[in-house]
Amino acid sequence: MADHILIDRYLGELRRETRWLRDAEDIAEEVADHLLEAVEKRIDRGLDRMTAQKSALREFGDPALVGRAFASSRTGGAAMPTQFTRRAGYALIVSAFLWIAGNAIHFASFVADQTRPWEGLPQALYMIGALVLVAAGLLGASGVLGVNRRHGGSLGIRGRLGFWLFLVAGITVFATWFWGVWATALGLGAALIGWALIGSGIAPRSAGIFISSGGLLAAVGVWSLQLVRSEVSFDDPPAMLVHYAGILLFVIGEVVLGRWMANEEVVEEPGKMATV
Amino acid sequence: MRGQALKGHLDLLLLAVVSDGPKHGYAVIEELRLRSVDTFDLPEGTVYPALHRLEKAGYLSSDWSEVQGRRRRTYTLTSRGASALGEQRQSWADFSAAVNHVLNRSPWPTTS
Repeated sequence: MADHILIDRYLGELRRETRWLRDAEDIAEEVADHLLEAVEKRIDRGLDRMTAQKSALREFGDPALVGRAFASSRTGGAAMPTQFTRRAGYALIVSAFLWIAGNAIHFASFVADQTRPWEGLPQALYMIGALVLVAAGLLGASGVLGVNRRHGGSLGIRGRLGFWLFLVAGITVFATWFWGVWATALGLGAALIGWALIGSGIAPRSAGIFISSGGLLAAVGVWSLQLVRSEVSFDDPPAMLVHYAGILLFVIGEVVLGRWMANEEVVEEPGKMATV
Repeated sequence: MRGQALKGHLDLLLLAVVSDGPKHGYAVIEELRLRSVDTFDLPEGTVYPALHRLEKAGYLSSDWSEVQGRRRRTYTLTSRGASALGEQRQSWADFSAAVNHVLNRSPWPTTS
């Protein structure tokens, strides 16, 4: 559209305003069709091309307001970064560090248990580790809420299940001393979130990491359940190794996703925007 | 009449305009302007988000076609949109009748 320089410029601004929306290119094409038709009608009425463009753009409205009206028209919110999603990104990063800390403290309690009676330092360490892991689960679940919002409120059943599994993973650390239960919940939650993220355009690398970690954690969780049923110690070294590998992969996924969300340029909340 | 006064009624007007047959955004806006004798002359760019919202709600459906080398989106009223339009028409008729009665100081119609 070399001879429609003003319209090109307008569409560029509109694309920038709507770049967070998944159908941004469709919006630009629909608006381009409208503006070109409006210019043609004005030229037919005797206006020159430049004046016709100015008149058509004036009638269409400021690109910032139009872009925000598009964002606010999305049910459940627009798929755009806000202060909420940014904070959720930080929550995911902090959650990752807490998962590592909690597991390290738990591991320390198992090591201490080899040389000391359980009632004492090992038990105290275990309880502290459990508290840290509960906090990690709660922060992870709040991070999922932010991911859902960043996705336009449409992660769907996978997102909702992922949220609840993250919560269950955190809470069951206290409810049971058996790590296989919360590892399974965490793994399934991570896999579901990763699955929901595929093709969303939201941190695609984290989707793959979540799914891999989810597979590992869920597998080791089921494996550990089998060990308990056969009355073999579930602190079996290979199982523990896979468990920690799964946790490590999971926290990498949280950090990748969290950093992506925390570093995004925040735009105005859709609810505060002008609508007709 | 600008956007503020139209707030809350735009959906009804858009559904009514599209109920005559499939239309693309430009045609919807022109029809709205024509039927209202230029009274509803709102910023054109704000009509499209409303059309998208109505589509998301299932009241309109849209199809893309190619016209003069450009992609064009055409909106059609769905059966859900048609029944919503019927309901909204009735509530607007009731509301406007009540307002007219108040403004004209005429007695409220009774059924007895």
